[in-house]
Amino acid sequence: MTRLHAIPRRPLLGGIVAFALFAIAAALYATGGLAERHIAMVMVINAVMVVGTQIFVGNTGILSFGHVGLAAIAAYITAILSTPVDIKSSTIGSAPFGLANVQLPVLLAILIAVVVTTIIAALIGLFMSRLNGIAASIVTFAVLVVVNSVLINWKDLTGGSEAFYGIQVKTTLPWALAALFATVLAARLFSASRAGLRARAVREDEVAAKSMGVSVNRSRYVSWVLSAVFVALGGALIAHLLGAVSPSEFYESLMFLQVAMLVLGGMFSVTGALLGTFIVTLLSEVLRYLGDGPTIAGFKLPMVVGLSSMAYGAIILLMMIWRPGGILADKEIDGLWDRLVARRRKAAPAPAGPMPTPAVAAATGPPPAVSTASAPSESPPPPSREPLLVVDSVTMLFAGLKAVDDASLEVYPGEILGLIGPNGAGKTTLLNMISGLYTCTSGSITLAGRQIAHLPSHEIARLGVGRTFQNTHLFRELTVRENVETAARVAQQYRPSVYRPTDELLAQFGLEEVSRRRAGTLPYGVQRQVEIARAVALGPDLLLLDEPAAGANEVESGHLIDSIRRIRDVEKCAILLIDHDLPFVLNLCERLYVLDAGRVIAEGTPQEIQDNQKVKEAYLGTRTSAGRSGRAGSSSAAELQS
Amino acid sequence: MNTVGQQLLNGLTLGSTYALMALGIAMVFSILHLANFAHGELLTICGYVMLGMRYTGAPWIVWVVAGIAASTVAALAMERLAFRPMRHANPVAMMVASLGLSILISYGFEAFISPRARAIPQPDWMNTTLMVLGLQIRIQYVLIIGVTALALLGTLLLLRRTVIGTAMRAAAEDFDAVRLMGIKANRVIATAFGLSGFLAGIAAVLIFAIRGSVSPHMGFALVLNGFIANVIGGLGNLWGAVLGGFIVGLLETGFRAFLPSSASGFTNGLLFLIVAIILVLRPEGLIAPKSAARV
Repeated sequence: MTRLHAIPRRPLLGGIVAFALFAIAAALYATGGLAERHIAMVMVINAVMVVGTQIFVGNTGILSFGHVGLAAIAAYITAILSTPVDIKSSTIGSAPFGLANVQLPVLLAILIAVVVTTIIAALIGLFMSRLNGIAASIVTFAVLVVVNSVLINWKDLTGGSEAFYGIQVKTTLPWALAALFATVLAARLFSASRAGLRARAVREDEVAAKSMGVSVNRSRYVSWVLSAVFVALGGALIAHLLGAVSPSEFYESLMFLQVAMLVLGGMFSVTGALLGTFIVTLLSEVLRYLGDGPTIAGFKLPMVVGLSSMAYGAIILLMMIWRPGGILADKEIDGLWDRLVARRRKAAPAPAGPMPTPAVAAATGPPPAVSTASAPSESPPPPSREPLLVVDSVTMLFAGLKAVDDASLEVYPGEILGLIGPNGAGKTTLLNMISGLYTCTSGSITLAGRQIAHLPSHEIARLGVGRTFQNTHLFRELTVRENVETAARVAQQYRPSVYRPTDELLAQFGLEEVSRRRAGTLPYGVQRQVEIARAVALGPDLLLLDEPAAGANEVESGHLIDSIRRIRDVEKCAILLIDHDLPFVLNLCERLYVLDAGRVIAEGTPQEIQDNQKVKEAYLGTRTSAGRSGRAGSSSAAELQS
Repeated sequence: MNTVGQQLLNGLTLGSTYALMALGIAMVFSILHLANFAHGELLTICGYVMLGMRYTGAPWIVWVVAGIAASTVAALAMERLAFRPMRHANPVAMMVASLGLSILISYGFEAFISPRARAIPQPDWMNTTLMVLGLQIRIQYVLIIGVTALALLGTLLLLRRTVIGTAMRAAAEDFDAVRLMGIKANRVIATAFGLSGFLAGIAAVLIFAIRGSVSPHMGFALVLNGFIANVIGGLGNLWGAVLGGFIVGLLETGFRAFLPSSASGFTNGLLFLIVAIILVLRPEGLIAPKSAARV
């Protein structure tokens, strides 16, 4: 089923270059002598663990304190499996499962350690991936504490709090570097892969990701398990480097150290993880020298225990205050290269391309896919057709407040349907129920005959419901291309018949020029366009637009009308939209529903709605009481009558 | 039956201290979305100040006042010096900063005072035992549960009956709304930190009454229990955190008392296993947040 994509070149090259720089630094340091060689190897293995951790932290945005615990598990497994029987008989002679009498080759032991640790991580991940941000971080913290307590207390197996010694010292610099090479490439390629893209989309905006068909839990879970593989590898390697492991070695100090390495360079960047590891290693060597009480210029400095840890604390704290994203934030080495090149170009006089005006581009430029841009059809669909969406007397209660009260509506295939009503009428709430962000208190919602009222948001999206949001929900730190690609790849997997390549969609919406810009940096109007493009990328049967014309002037909303009709004609989808701009809605929509105080008070063609007495009252209020929706409502009512 | 009653009392006592700690953590979290690792250090700061006061010869109650004052001031200083400059950073960056602060302070105590635990002697009257209904009740327990009840009640009144308390509750719901009401954001946040430090100080005094000593890194394990209590109760929910604190205290005491001694080392593991089960059943915590996520 899964098609093998060509391996993306940029992350591959960027990963190789970043690795090469780090490897050269390590190799140079290793030439300094035996002690330096050891430090270089520790640094490389730390990098394996830190980059491994970054696979989870960087893509999900959830900081983990528990990866050191996973490394500890792997270290102990390989230690127990590979250590000679005669040494074990004196340390863990009564080990369970006959492990005291087993000695496996080191490579096999490492392999088993990685596999078992990954399985354990997969089990932990089952419940951890259900938690959000900070709560998940706290649970990873608990993982660290639990692993430590098991290592100390399962004396028969681990030898307790004392060091487990006699582990075969087999790790060499080339092996460590090979492991790091694999880790760095995996991290870069994963981040660029479909699964990595999904995780990053969730990181940026969970609500939007769900609405684009991304399973939040699953994307986190995949990142977690993959990162465990490499952290376990690092843990096993460090055991075979040090020759002895102890529970205290894999506890808070190592966790602090690795968190410092991760956040210093920038936790959203693989290059940053490598840079952070290098800087912190360098600093800790300097600090170790200072902490030992060196003699500087004739003065003997006092020996200070814990100085290096204090320094890590200070570094972490100051870096977060100064630059919360770390040195590189989320930039990779290839991105830095791009900027360098761009700066060079800017220095030389270059013709600056004008900013695209996508709203116009989308309206005027004919879509490349469909050359027969049919004339917008004004006629409502024949009533004999089966409705695509049936909302049947749904009610939504918020703490006793009825936001939507027994509302029903039907959407027919291919129609443009408007939902209007005063502020607080429950329009957005209704949209949120259809797209699964809220679960209705009672009532039913069926899409093409299938009950969807209780489906999670991402499954509804995969059935072909795309949407935009009142206050744009873009994946702000992802590029425009990645925003659209997230949804396109969901279509590719779950709706292959309507899948269209990202390039085609970018062209259709006039977004090629800005495709490599971060969505959050774009002007508001372009952001809205990106959001529509992303929703269309799902290949939806039903497109929900929440106030598409908000903030647009008259000319722009005119273009938007053409643009939305074109989307309907090209995509053959039904469109359900909310807007306060009445001329816009009356012009665009073929049929309207009017919602007031959570109830549907009218349904009909724009003309019927304009003539409807109940609608006028809802907008104007009765004569005796002031307009319930205030000034905005009254002015809308004036427009309604015009 | 008596052992059960006795352990229930022990658990309630331990839970009281966790509840106070968790409430302080929740107070800051609800407003700033900061999971403050350095909250544990607020407790040790109280301990080291009490330790210092011991050498002045002042009576115990003076140590207590000085310790609680120190925690409060330290919390205010943390807010002013570390967290205010990064107010607009994301919650992960703030959490990392608080971890850095926690490392800095705890290793500072290790480097400049002592890596070992130092005794904080308790007044003798605390260990007097009463026999009530066949239960051994130490005055200490009565004091701890009573003080906790008073502190919780005081916090409740502050939040419900004062302007600043109302502003804090509002800020937890929607920070911008408070700004619009004309209340200075800095004041609301500073008050939350101050109160959180004050509660940490009380919790610390009670914890030292149980443990009798302070060590540089004890905050690390304590803050985890405070966090776990918060996660159980629903992160950012004040009374959920208090409930979570009592649950953690009761579970911990129960495991220590009823597990065979060979397995007592796994108390932590079992505790977190139960927490994990609670979270699988209710990922939002026992008391889910009031408002659904705004879209």
